[in-house]
Amino acid sequence: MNISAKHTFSFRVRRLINTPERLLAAFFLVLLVFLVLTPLVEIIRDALSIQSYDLAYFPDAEEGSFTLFHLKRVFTGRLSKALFYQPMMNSLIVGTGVTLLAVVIGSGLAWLVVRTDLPFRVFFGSMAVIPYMMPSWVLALAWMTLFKNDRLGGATGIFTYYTGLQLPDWFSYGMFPIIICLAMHYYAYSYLLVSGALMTVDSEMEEAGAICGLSRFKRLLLITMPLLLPALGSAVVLTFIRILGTFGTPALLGLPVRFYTFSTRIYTSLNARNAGDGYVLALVLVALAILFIYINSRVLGVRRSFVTVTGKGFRQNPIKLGRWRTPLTVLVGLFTFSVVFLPLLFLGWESLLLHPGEYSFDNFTLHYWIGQASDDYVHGDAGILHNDQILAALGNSLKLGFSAAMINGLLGLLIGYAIVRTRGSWMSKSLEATAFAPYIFPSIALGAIYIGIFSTSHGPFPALYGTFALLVLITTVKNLPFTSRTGIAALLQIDKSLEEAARVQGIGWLKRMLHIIIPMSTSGLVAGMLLTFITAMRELSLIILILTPSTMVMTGLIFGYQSEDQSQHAGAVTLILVLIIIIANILVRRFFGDSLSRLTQSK
Amino acid sequence: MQVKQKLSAVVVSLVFAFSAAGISFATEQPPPPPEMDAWLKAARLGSYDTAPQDWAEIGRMAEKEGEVIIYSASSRMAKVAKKFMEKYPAIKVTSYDLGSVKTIEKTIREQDAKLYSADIITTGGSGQVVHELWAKNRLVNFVPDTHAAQIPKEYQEPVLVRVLEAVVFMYNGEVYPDAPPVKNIWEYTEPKYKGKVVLKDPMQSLTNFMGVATLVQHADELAAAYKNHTGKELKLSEGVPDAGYEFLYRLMHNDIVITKSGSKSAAASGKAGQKNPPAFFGAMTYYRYNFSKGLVNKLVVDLDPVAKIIYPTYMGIARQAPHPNAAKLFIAYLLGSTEITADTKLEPPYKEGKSGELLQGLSYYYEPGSKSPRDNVPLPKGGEAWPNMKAWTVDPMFMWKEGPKVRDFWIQESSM
Amino acid sequence: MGFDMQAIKLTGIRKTFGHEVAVEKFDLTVNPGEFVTVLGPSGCGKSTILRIIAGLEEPDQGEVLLGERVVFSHEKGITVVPEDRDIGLIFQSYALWPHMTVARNITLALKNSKVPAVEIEERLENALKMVQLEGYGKRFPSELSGGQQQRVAVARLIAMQSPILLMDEPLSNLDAMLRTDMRSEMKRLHRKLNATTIYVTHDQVEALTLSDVVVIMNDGVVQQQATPYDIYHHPANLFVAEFIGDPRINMLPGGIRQENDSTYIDLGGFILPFQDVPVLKRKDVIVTIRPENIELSMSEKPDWLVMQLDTVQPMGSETIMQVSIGKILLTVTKSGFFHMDVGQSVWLKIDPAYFNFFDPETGINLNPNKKI
Repeated sequence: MNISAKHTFSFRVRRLINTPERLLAAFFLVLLVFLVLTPLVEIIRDALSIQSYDLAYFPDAEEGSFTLFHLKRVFTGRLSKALFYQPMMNSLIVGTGVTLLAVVIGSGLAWLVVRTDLPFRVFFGSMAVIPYMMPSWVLALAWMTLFKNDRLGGATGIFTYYTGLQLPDWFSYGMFPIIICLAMHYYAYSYLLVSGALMTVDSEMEEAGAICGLSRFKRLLLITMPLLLPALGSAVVLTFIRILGTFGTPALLGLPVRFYTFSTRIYTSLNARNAGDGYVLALVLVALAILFIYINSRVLGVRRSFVTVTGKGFRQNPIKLGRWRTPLTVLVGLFTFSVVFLPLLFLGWESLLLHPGEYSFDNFTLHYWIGQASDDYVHGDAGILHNDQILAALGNSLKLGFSAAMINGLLGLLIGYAIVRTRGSWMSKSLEATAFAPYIFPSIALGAIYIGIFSTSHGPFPALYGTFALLVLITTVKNLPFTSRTGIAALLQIDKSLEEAARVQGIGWLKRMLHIIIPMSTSGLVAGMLLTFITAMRELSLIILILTPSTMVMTGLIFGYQSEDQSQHAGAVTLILVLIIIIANILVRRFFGDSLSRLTQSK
Repeated sequence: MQVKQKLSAVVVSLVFAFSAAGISFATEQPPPPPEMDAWLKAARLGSYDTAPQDWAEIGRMAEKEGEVIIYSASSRMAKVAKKFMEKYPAIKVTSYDLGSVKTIEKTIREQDAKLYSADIITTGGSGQVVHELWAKNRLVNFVPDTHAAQIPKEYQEPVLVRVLEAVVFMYNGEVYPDAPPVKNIWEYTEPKYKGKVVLKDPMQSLTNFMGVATLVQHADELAAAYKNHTGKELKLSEGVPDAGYEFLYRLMHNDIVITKSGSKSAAASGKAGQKNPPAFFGAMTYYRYNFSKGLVNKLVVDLDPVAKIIYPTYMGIARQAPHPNAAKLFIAYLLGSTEITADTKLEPPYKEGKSGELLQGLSYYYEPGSKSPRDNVPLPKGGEAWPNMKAWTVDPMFMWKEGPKVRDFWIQESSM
Repeated sequence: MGFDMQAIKLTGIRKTFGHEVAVEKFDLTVNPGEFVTVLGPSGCGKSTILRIIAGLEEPDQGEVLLGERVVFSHEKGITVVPEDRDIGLIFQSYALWPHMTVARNITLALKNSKVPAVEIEERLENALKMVQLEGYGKRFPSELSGGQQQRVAVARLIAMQSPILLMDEPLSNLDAMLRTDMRSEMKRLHRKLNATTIYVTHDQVEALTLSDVVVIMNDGVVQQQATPYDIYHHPANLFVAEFIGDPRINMLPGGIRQENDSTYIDLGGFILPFQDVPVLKRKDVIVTIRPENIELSMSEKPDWLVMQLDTVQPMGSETIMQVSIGKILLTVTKSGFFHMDVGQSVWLKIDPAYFNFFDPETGINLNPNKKI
């Protein structure tokens, strides 16, 4: 006879209401599969069928019919070297170079700031993430402004202007500056992850090493570094995948010497409405990303979490740099100056020039800031402070940033909750993987696909094309990898017993969320929201295809100004954008503490 | 999948058209679907257009509609909109500057989603406008009969041209003040011009791409020009199909300099004070920077076999446009006042005063390098060279059929 | 083993963290081979002392000698880094390196110094044997239980063969039973290794059972430094008296009365005749007596004090009882397992010879040298 109590239907319902984690997990899984995997299916389908562009090659073919043409063309045809192999080589080299450089810079800086007695280290630490807040191509612009040689003719670069010397092509354009500029932007990932890890690695580990007689260097090598491996591994993965899909910088610096990468090829294909080429390339990117993640997890092995949870964390006295103090301070100072202030300086400078490219002081004007619209100036646009278009775009950018941040923060928390509370089940694992999946899609491809999906309505989703909602949606989805991870991290810190104590007292799920979970995960929540806000504000490639003038945002405007070569407007608006992002970061820090670094501590 | 079936029907008819035509406008617009037909009837467009058009009625209806929405590839359209609203305060104009590619993309996507929010579509991209928009019933042609007589037929069909622009070669007038340094296009493929030809990336600039493709199209003329220049027959490089591609091949392998920005390439050749400036290939409208930015570019007016490649910017009414009559009014406005004749004196600044009043929508495009499709509008100051420059016109059929192959060729030869 | 036993000497150690004084004028001499426990509640500065000896913290003032070597002197400006002090340290968290095997955890230091490989193997085997973890060499710390991890930490110490051992609450993370077992292990270990040991804990049982000398600290100040016997029977002040002993010592405010030739102690609820009060010139004192020094009888005894039974806690080998008279509550322990009714009357015999007297204001023991 079955002794256990029968679960009545009402019992089941009540249990579901009060512990809805499985329901939540199921719901989000379905939702995310739709939002994340459908694009993938679409891409695959279109890559394998005739597109309208292809009719030039096959006038008799039927659109939509199955074909291996794209695959043949990209991988084996006459064009494959130019279309695929060369750009892939370039992308891989750039990816590797940038990742190496970025990880070295980021970890080095993290170590200096967290562990040593470097002067002004708090200041340097807070500056470290700022390059990330600028659109990634700002550094490339600065480089061009500085080091342009006369291959492009026209206005000289500042270096040539003041020294009269011409720089060689390999220095001014192509792989070299691309790697440098991208590394200067993306080192932020490594910095955040490694500094977070350094702060949570139990300092007693290293002290025990000291007691055992290990020199400082040996301790670094044998104890600290291996413990940082998970953080370093994450940094490498995140950076590399991001680099593969980045468009702005390679386009700007690679074009003059005909250096093509995956991303620039995808962009030009999609731009010409050649979906076949574009999607095949995008799929290769996705495959590469997945492969990379897989390799990384194998290399790191099963022993993923080395963070010891003794609660004492990092307590050690700062390492004295001794005679290295001054040279290192100068180095870090120079570095901070070049990646944070210099680009902003150039943007500002650029925006004050009457005639672009003339860097003498008598060429200065405030017209582009406060001037009225006048045909004497290029395009006759009003200065930005009077410009309705810009103000409207600013409003839209802020709207986008805030709504994406709010929604994403909450979503990340709920998904994190669902994942952590159903931990171990296949639903939890699938949800975790699906939530991270958007990261591997090159932004530009995701944008193109979303137009396709939401051109028509699907079930409860109306046709969102052209609406602001679509922008918010795609931004939310693209940033989900970040917020779901912060959500998971935040929830891992809230022991189940805290909720169970509430349950025992009769407190329902909603109240538990409101009074316990959300207040306790504030810093994780805020970190995810801040990151979403920052990325949303400076995002371009994701939304460039979806933008409409009514939903125009700052980055779209900047892109437009650049295309029309209104460098002054471009510079000024970029400057404003960056300042807003920085201010937002400061405000959040003021109220919520240094959430961005706490984001990476609780892994 | 009704759309897909329709598309394949169109494809079939296009195939017939291709095989029959060769290089001509023998493209058919298939009969419109029922809901579009109903709209055409109500809006008096297409086969329901009246002859003559009742402009009083149109004006009344336009005011009733009260609004017009434009998808344009030009940022200046917003200013035209403002000007229009001064003349017709009852009609609100919103102009969306999307760039050539996205204008088409957006139109197609929206209409496929059954979102009909645009009234006027105006953009270049001949192949796509004709074959993807017009030939697929996404665009309806409307020619104001007030202007029809002044516009040559080729600029009315299959879609009305709003403005003609051209792709040209330019050189630095300061370094060569007396005469242009080139007479024959093949000179650009020679060592003197190695690394010295700048243009905006044709993969990103539809304009430049059309220019390049049209050059390729005229293989025979290029072969003849080669003979004129060297006295010998042109020998094709390996794998190159004809003289057109050969020209492109040699140009590209002469270390052509590709930039991301058109105006930067114009500044490259035109900035004063240079010792060894490059040559420019691209939109003639950049000539206006001589006035606004102080550049010293000069047009290569006489070039064997061609000095300019004309590309039209079209305008038409989008399918099931919500404000068709306001759209008609705006289209007429874009063509400029009928009062203009070949003798009318138009003085800068063209956007204001009497000139502005006359030019209306044309005023923002009234600059050297732009020409109205009308044959009775005088050329703007600085643009007088237009009729003297030998021209080829971009062929939509060639763009549609051969464009991808030219693209492929470019991709192939431009990678390192 | 392979070394001479070393003494440890700290003089005048003062350490502040910002405004907080962690250690105030600390002196300690540990004779070679001695086992000294530094005992005290959390935050009393005991861990800081240990870290100072190890070289992980630098004092603001004072001197530290290990054997003959001055490893720290504020005046002379000498500091020797931890790597060069040749000491062994067990952390409270064990500080096992999670990415290394047990064997590597134990031998890392040896491999780093110039000890030949053969000897390293020997020491490893020996250490594992001594902590009864033979065969566990290839495991990783995450695969071991808490008790096993602790033993690996101990094995690390054994293998290193340092002349000085520092232990920072090494048993506090173990469960009660394991703790009791490991206590005897630690004692055995100390005997075998012959190393001078400083042991830090907040557990007074460990202090009493393991040490040669106990140093009790509170708020950075040494309260008493003495043998376990003296600490227990002659607490230097009220803090020590209360801290040591489980269950807690009885503390009663009392007044000294002289009536005719006899002296009495008035403890509020009862009065006891009291001779031998040469030291006590005071009128008010605090009187202490340990629970086990009070005799209790369930049956009536003449001349004994009668009190009411409040609570009974049989612990197995003995029973703790709380009795009251008037407002006074006394804790008494009696050997055996008893179960009685609350409110029942019991008879107590209190011998003033077991009293300690403390100044109510300063808390200092007024007769510390008294023989008990």
